[in-house]
Amino acid sequence: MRTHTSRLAAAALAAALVAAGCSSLDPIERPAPVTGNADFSSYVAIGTSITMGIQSNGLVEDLQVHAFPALVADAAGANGGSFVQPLVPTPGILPVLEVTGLTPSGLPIITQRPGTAPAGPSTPRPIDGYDNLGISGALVASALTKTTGDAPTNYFDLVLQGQGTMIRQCIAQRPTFVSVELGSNELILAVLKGNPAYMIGGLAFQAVYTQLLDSLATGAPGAKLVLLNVTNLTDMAYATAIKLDVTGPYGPGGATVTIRLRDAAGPLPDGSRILLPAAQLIPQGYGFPAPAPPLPDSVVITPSEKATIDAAVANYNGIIAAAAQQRGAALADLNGTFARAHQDGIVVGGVRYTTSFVTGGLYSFDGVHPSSLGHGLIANEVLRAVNAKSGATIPYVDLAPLTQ
Amino acid sequence: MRTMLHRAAAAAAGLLVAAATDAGAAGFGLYEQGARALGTAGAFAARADDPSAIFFNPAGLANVEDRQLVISPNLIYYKSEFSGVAPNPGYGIEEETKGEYFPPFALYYAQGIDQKVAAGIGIYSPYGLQVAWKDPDTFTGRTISTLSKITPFYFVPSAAWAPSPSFRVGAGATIVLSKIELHRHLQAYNPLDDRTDDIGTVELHSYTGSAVGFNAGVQWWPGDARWKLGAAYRSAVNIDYAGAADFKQLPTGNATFDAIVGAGFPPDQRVETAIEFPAQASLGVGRQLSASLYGEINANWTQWSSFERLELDFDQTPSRNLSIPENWDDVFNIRTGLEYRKGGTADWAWRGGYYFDQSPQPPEGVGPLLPDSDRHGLTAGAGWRNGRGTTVDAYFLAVLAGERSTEGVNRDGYDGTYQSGSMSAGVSLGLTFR
Repeated sequence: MRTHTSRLAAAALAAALVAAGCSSLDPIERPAPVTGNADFSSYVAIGTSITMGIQSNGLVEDLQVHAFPALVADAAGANGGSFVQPLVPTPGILPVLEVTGLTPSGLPIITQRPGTAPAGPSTPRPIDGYDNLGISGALVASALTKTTGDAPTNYFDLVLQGQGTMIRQCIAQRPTFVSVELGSNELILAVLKGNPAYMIGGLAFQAVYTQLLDSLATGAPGAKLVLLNVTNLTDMAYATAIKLDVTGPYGPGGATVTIRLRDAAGPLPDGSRILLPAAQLIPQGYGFPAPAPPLPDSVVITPSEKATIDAAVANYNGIIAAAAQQRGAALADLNGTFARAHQDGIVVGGVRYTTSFVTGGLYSFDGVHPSSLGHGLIANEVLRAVNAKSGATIPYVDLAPLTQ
Repeated sequence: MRTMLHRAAAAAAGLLVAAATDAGAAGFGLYEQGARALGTAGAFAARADDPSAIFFNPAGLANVEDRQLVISPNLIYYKSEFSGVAPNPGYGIEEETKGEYFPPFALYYAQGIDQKVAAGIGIYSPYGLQVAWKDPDTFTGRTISTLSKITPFYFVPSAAWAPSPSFRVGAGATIVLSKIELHRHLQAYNPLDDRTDDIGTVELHSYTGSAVGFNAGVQWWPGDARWKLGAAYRSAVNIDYAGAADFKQLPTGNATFDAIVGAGFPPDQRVETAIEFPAQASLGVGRQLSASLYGEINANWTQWSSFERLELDFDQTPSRNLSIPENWDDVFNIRTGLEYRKGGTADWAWRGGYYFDQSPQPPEGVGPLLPDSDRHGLTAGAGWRNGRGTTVDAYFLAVLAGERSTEGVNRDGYDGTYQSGSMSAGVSLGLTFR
């Protein structure tokens, strides 16, 4: 009996040893989203071109599906699994930009996707409106009052279809959760035109932003909110693509020298920004030493102008953060996400993606709107904020499919 | 003479240290240095009394009489699995290393010089690493690592002195030879196709690097020697490696993009790196629990905090230099085991042991290069001796490395959970020449 017991013990020990060495790891399946205090049964997104899913200066179905609200909705299992966007068939409205090659000097050749732009979206508007109500060019005031317009894209008509304002259509859907991504268009003209005078002041923004949130609170009193702040617009690829110095055979006898480009005031000081449209002017000689013409002011942001714009962005973000705190909304730090990307890049699977124009992978080919991967980062920042605020455990968006 | 010694040692390294893996001890430590000790989970610093004492505690060499040779081959099976999570590589992704067998072994020779002094030499690998991922061309972590391999080889002449029957001291020099090999894929964002493509591979193969260190130890077996106490120390060794970096461009299917990549693709070139194999210290307490039963417990400390960064310096394309933060922590492991030998004099002995080995690796570093985790080891072993100086010992070790999550903070943006497991078996053949 004692021998029998010893043998059993030895066999059990051997089995334990082998089992310990051979244990196997099961795959981790995507967990079901737990939304905590947030209710995604009726999720509506309002916002600008970023919410809309504009990439590469156009709206097209194969890129709209990567718009951050669609990614968030998918991760959260929102709207019963059917988050409706006004999907536009290829080549898009406007036809999206694509990189088709390189010039002999190594610059990217960017052209519109071939084909005829469709008349409108292929997805019929649901009776209460699209779940994604983002509209390119929308100001906060537009969300409250605008119902049509803006040729040639007519994005307001494309989304709203004459059925009322963005905020009205949002409320009509009795939303349980709303993402609000507004504020950048109040400032972006300053960057696109190189002039801070085009910005809407902080007090005016605060007033209209408060009015918008009040409207939501009144019209959709049970809805939880996530507010997205504004990225530092002077760090967009549109404003950083062109370096201040050019190196080439510009010296005596064709010697290679480095030249600091100039505007009417002289060589641009460090910290200046040259805007993307200057890419058309520099090959014509603009910005080189006299007698060549200087870069026009419309394509240059001086350091003082940059400081003014950056301060305005910070002021807006302070207003948005205060509103989030006051109203118990989650705050998605879009600015922080892209600031980290601008500073060090974002490493995904061992590959570092940056905010560099065309080659960086985080901005689309217009230099203003995020790429699909950029939208993935925004979506995950939104989910991080919602999870933290609502006690939710909504799994993050997989980024790998957005890089393939 | 020095060159000859160097060449001989290098040849021995190539022959003996065919491969190693991070099987037996956390980080890239290896404890499979003697079957007798492994039967009790490596708890041997207090009792080490045969030539394998050169590894476990050089003071124990003073117990050796006559001339003794111990040959300790091992067979290690190692496998690591990975399950991904969002944001990258995503849920449902499964990866695994090649399940591979490795045959590291140790060799010891020692002889008593007089009643109080003995000397010997040991050849072994207290560290080693090989993590080779299956299907490297499609492995989702291939830009981080598809193969990492470190094969150090310690050549350790040692001597010990017993000033009294109960007290011994020992020390030795460690001459270390080592190679390192790292493979990975290169990827880049391709704006022409708006996707990320594999653009090439890089394989780093070092030449043999060398360095010198030391080990030392004491043993005290007070009174009637029912209690045994031991302490040992192995110094850190820093090895500078030089080697060749072989870059190979891969076609992406887009000739225009391939031309752009090709214009800036790095050439094959010289690369340099350095690795410090950390200092280790052991403290052992053993007791003869009965006439038949002996038990020992060891606490081992490894100064892994010396592994701060893995630097790779390319001589032609310094823009590709890498400085990978590792920031490991100093850790302890606990090893304990029992040996049953009927009446204390029987020819056969039966052994069992357990150890817990704490991982030195912070979660941000847990990745394809080295997915480390806490480990639990269970060992069983047996020994036979013929009373005329011939011994045969054998052990079996199962290592369960617990699941290790990257906690969403992996420095390469490659998150998920790893689980590694290994099994080792080995024998030690001891021969005495009088």
